[in-house]
Parts: sequence; C-alpha cells; structure tokens
Amino acid sequence: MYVTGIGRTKFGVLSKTLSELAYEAIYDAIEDSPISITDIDAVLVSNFLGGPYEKQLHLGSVISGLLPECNIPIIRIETACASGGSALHQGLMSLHDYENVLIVGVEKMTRSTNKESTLFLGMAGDRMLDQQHGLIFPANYALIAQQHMIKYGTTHDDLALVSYKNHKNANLNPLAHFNYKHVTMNMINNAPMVASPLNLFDCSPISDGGAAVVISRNKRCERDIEVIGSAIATDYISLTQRKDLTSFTAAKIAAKKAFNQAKITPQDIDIAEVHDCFTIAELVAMEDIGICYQGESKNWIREGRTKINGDLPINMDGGLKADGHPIGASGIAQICEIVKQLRGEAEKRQVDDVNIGLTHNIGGIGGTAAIHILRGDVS
Amino acid sequence: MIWECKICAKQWRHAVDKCLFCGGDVYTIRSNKFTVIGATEVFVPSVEHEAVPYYSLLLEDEQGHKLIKKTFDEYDIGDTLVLGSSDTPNMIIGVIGAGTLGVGITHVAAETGYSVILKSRNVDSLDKARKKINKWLLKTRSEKEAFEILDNIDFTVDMALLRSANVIIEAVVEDIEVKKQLFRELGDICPKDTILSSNTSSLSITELSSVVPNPERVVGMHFFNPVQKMLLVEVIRGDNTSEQTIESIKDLVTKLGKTYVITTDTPGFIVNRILMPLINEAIQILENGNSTAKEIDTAIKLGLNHPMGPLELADLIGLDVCLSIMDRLYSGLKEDKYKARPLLLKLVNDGKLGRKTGKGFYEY
Repeated sequence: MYVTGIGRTKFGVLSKTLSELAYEAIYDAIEDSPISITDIDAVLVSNFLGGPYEKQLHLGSVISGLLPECNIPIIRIETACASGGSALHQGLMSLHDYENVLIVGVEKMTRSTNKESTLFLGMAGDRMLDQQHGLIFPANYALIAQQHMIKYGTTHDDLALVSYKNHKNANLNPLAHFNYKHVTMNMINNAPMVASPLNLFDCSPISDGGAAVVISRNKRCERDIEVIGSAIATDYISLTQRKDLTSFTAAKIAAKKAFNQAKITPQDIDIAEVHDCFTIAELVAMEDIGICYQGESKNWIREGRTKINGDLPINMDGGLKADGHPIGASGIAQICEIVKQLRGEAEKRQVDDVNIGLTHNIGGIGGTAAIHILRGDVS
Repeated sequence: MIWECKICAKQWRHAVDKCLFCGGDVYTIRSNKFTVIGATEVFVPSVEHEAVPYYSLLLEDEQGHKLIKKTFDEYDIGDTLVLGSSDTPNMIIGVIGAGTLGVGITHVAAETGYSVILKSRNVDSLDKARKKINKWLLKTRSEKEAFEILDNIDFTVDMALLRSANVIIEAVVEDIEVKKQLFRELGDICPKDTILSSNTSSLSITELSSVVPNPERVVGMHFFNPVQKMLLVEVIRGDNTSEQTIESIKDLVTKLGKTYVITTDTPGFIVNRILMPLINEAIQILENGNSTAKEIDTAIKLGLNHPMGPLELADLIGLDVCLSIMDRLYSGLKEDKYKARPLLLKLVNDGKLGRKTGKGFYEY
C-alpha cells in the first residue's frame, strides 16, 4: 500500500470555508498523484467538530458536492484529534477492496470565540467525568505534565525547549500557522499561564486548514511512498479511569502493533511527526513510541537530539504547536510531511538520508491513538 | 460512582447490570474520602466555566479510584478531601420529575447539603431546572457557593442512576397509574432498603406500596408550593409503612428545615381535606349570587387572616386539579359535602382552568 499523492492548505486563521479548504487540499493531492479523481473508489473525511463549529454535519455528502457526479462512497471518521490517523487507517484497510482511496482531513475553527472553542474541544473528554468539572483540554494535559514532573523530574524548561524547537521548525515551513513568528525563549518563559504548569506557548493554536492524501493498493511511480505499518488502539476516555498518568496505553499498543507489521524497531526510524497538541504530549509520545525509555525524553530534548539536525528529528513541519492544529487535518498533515521528507522534497527543512518515518496521532487525552510507519526507497 | 464486577473486577463509570465479560453481578462503589494527587489552576474561561481562575483537582481514594473535582480553593498535592457536607455524609436523594415541585425539592435538598439526583424524562426540562436553581441560588449566594451546590446535583434522564439514592421523592404527574408504573420500575432497580416516597397530594400511599417489594419503605411526603417558602411537609403513613421509614423521613424533613405532620392514608390527608371543601363552599356562595369572587376572597383574607382567598388560590392551583382532588375526596369519603360544585365542573369543561389558561374565577 502506497501514498501516491499529498496536498494541504496553509494552516492558520484563514478566510476560506470548510468546503473551500477541503477542495484545495483534495485538488493539491490529486495534482500531486498519478491517479486522477475519476479513479478514486472512495473517500474518507476526517473531521472532529464540524457540528459545533460550523453547524455542518453529513460531511460525506458535503465532500460529494465537491466531486460532482462521482457518487462514490464517502464516510466521515471522527475520533477527536486522532480523526486523521484513524481515517487513514480505515482507508488502508479498505484497499483490500478498493484500488485508490482519498483521505481528506479538514477543520474550520476560527469563526468562534475562544470560550466556545474551549467548550467544543472539551467534547473530546467525558461529559460527566471531565467536562462538568472544568477539565478543559489544556487542564487535562496540565495534569499529565504535573505527573510527569513529579515522577521523572521533567521541568517546565524541558517543555519550553519543545515549544522553541517546533517554532524554529515552523519558520522553515511556509504553510505553517506560525511560519512568520520569531519566538524566543524569553517569550516562551514569560507567556501567560493557561492551566498550570502549562502556559500559552505549551499549547497548540486554534487553526483552520485542510490536508489530503491519495492512497493506492499498488505502486504507480517513483515518488510513491510505501506504508509499512498502520495501527489504531483505544482506551478509556477520561484520566479518572486510567491507572497510568504519564503515558498513553493506546499509543503504546498501536505503536507496538505498527512496528510488528513493519518488522522494524523504534531504533530503525529516522524521523517522526508526533502529536504535540501540548508540549508535554511530545515528550510522552517519544516514550510511548519507544524512541526512548520512560522518563528519558527530557534528556533527549535537553541534548537537542530531536532537532532537524539531531539523531532523530521530530516535528520538522513545526508540529501541532507551530504548524497549527486544524484538528481533522492534523493527522493527515503529519503524513504529508513524512512523505515530503521521504521523497526528498521538504526543501529548507529536508532531513538528510531518511528512509523510515513514523506518525503518531492522538485523540483526546489518549483515548484513541493512530500510528503509521512509512518507508521511502529501499536502500 | 463506579460499577464493578463482583467476579472479574472490571469497572464502569455508567450504570451496568451484568458484566459483559463474565456475566458476573455488578455492585457499586462510592467513596467520599480522597487524596489530592494532581491539581491544575485554570486561567482561561470557557462557555460552561466562565469564572476563572479555578482549580481542577485529580483525586484518588484508597482503592485507587480517581475523579476530577472543580473547586475555587487551592489544595496541595497530598491534601485529603471529604466530599459532601459533614452532617449529611453519604446521603443521596433522588427526585423524579422536573416540574415546579420536583425542582423546588431538588433546590432545597441540594442547598441543605445533600447530593441530589434529579431525574426527568427530557433533557430540556433538566436544562431549565439547572438554570432555575442557579438563579435562585445566586439571589443569596456567591457564584462560587452556587457552583458548589449545583455541582452536588446530578441532572439525568437515566433512571438507573437512581439506584444509588437512599431516599427517592417522586413528583411526577398526579395520576395513580403513572405513579404505580414508576414505583414498579423503582422496585426493580433500587436496593430493598431505598425509601420510596411520593409527593402526592391525595392519592393512596397504600395502593402505591402494593406494587413494590418491601412495601414498608413506601411513604408519602407532601411538599407545598413554593417548596423554598412553605414550611410544611405532610408525612403520610400508608397501611404498610414501617416505623423505621417514618422516623427516617421525620429526620429528613427536619434537616431540610421543614416541619412535618404525620397523617394516615386518607383521601386528601389533612390540608387538602380541609382546603378543597373550603374552596367548594366559596364556589357555592358565588353560585348563589350572594357575593362576588372578590368579596369572598377579601372576607377570608381579612376575616381569617389567610394570605390568599379560596377562589384566587383555586385559580393558582388550577381548577382541573381542584376538581380531581374533590372527586377523589368524594369517591373515598362518600359524603355529599365533598361533591364538586356545578360551577367548578362548568369552568373546567369550558377550559377555564385558572391562571394557567388566563381565565378562572378571575381573568388574568
């Protein structure tokens, strides 16, 4: 199974509508692929909050309107922030029957107030156990950060390094939400608190955006990138139901399954795009994937090992933190970045000698996790 | 509240009857003593949490069960926290029906410090109930206090949640068949020692108790509208009601800041047995043309020091409600003095039901 085309919009506060963003991403992905739109057998749409934000559901049919007279199966997949990874996984499974499938992720978020957004995003948590007790999403990850600090001695300075790195990477990505923004350690350390110990620079922004990939059962051209591992796993929706508060069981299980499929180990990957919706999530991701041992991620970030020129670059596009987090599009944008890198088309942020890349996409506070492993030319 | 399988120890946070994995029975675990294991101070307001900063605490009990609790007070990790007010530990009151009386009872019970589960058939009425209670609370309390009281109320459409209640007060429509069906369901889902009470104004408690196992825990608790102001609760002893049940309810009524009177299970109990004939008599005076409605009401208010006259009170209660209580008094007591006056029948037949329809003895 191969990714044969990728496309994405700029992420940020955009004037385009949900449909326009989806169309732009689809157009770019088809343009990038040897497959034409009429050869697409089905579409999966990744979107989290079209209902609350845009009062628009039934997105399968909305997308159908962008592909006049195709009348193919189109289904929306929603697993909160992991919708993109989940949709891709479902798409890959469907290649058993289909030849070519288009996955489009899209989210329009910036027309609502921050107060509304915070409520909507909270819908990824349990209504009774979390939402009613004010556990907005930054607060969820704040509790994880606090547990990680208590257990492993991780500090806020470590989190600041994650933010700084991802902002630096976004400066190299013209499509990133914060491409223009020059961020300093001083700005990060003096930012207003959101949910202690997390401040504004620990949080990904609210962005509009779309991303799409075309996947095919067979390889069509040299630029096609093989998917060698794909897995999703789930867990309790609320932290109150979990035993482990410093890692995500779903992510560990999905990673293990994907590595088994790919017949490689975490040490074999060259680059990764991980779900840094909050800075702490990037550190937890490194440990859950197995890039480093539990509690060791702080050393990696301190030593700069995940910078673009480090041993294992992470979030080359700026991550959710600085590339932006249009939720339904994020998981797909991660795939776009890995494909670009493996094709050697990542321009200013191209990592040298990359062969295997991984994406890690999380829904809620680890209630869903999707892991994909992609391989470029077998060298 | 946690539902745990007795055999394989799997846990749920929603009401579960049987374990899906092993078929084992499920029991409920409720803790009230917790240790703070995590805390975050939240600075950004959101639609349902406008007042900031607040804290979301991550709490854990001795068995490792966790919950999130919102508070405006600062706690340190390691602090212990006992949830629920100290003089009413563990007592949960279930209220069924989000009408005027159900919401009033919920408000008073929650403000007293009880955990309350308000069950209604529809989400909209629960939403309205929450808003109404919040509005009442804010008249006398700070936003923080109001929040904490409201936080002790579970608004639900899920009947199964009521199984955790110690006392259930039913305040649904005054229809014996509807209430009997409800009591049957309660008999099925509640433990055998849950006190089941009805806020009926004149239906038979004994008849209601006949449809549940352990009828000795069925009792009448007749509150008056508005519940926040009216100090009386008629406690009705059915033929099967045990002394222990009566004692528990007397204690509850006292804690709610009300006064109880005990009465046997006779039609209309005390208040309606006297009020309805009073209204009926007033109607007869009106029928005979002896005095106008206004004159009758003025006479009773100033002559007997009643806050309202019988006819304006009848309009407030609803003439259809008055008629149905009169009918029950007459069919139960078989004396002519309880027979509803023709004018009452006529007004009800004409759809003039009092304030709620804009027309009754008066126009509104």
